[in-house]
Amino acid sequence: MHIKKLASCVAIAALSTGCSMMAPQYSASIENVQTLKNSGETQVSVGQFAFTPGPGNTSPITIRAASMNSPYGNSYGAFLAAAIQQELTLANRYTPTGNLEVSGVLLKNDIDAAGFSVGYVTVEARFVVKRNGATTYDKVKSVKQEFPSSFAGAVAIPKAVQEYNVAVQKLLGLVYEDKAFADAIK
Amino acid sequence: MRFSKLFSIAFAAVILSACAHPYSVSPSADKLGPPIQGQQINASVAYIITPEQSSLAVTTPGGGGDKVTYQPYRDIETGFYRVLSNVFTKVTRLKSATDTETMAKNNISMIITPTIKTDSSSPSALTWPPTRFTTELTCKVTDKNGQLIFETKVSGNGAAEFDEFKKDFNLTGRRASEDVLLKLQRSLSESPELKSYIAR
Repeated sequence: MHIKKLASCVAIAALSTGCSMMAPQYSASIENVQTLKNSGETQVSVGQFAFTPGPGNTSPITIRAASMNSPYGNSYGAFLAAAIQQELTLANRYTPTGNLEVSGVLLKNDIDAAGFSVGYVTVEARFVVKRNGATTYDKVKSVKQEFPSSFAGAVAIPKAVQEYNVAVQKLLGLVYEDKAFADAIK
Repeated sequence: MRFSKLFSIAFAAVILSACAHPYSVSPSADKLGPPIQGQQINASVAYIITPEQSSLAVTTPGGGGDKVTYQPYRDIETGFYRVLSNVFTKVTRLKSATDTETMAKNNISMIITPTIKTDSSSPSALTWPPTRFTTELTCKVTDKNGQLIFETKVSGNGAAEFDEFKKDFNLTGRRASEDVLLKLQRSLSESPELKSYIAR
């Protein structure tokens, strides 16, 4: 009985202790890559995405008792920049330096995994395209990604981590499919 | 008292019952390297991963009697695309073998069809992420008429212990994907069948 009690305490302690983890590196969407390929061949560079932490714009992101850091210098602005760079690279459109640059500001960055059946990832950013220093595109795009969650943290937390990548893919998909953006990077 | 006992039993049952944990086998893009200029095979190729394959969920063993669930085709596709881009000069995705419009538009000379098999395990009784992961990738390369040019089967392994995966649950699956994709890249780029087909 003593051992059973001890084992239960250890299991509950292990499962409820908060931990800090690193988000996986961004995994590109091939559909986004194809959209970039289809919209032209001009080489594009990627500047900084500013990020000021605040309510609904968090770093690290809290997922129940866990916290998730960005794998790009602990910065979610850098995560967004790396995501665009990865997709431009796969589309053969990335250049480290050039007169055409995408940059921006990360405005919302949060995961709500408190619910036992549904969770949400919210990502919102301002995307700016500059050609020779002059702004040719400046729009805010936003995604609220709903995902099935669970009572068990060991299911809900990994699921939320996966869904962050999906939300960023969708956010970038919205930008690339915007005709004004496609024209701005032609 | 009776209620609290009942609640404790129910809580323990939920917590301790074996479950399938969401998992990812996506490789890190920077582990697969950029194309080596001048060494790419000068060909426009396509690969087929159908929407059904992309949404296919696979469940394999983890630790402590638990399981892990993931979508291998969806997770590996980005790395697969990068490897093909490293080997060939132009890569296009097809959603089916009958997508003749995309094939014609991109002047496709070869079509690559992957098949993925995975397995995982862990001797741990206390932690759910697998400590061993295996990914087997078979690729059939055909011409646009379906004639087989080359077939390769490569296998990748990933291993990690608690100290490594406690901050990255997907580590073993990711390592297996990176290993298998690098082996595929070598197999395709060194294939005499592909080089002689292009040289014809």
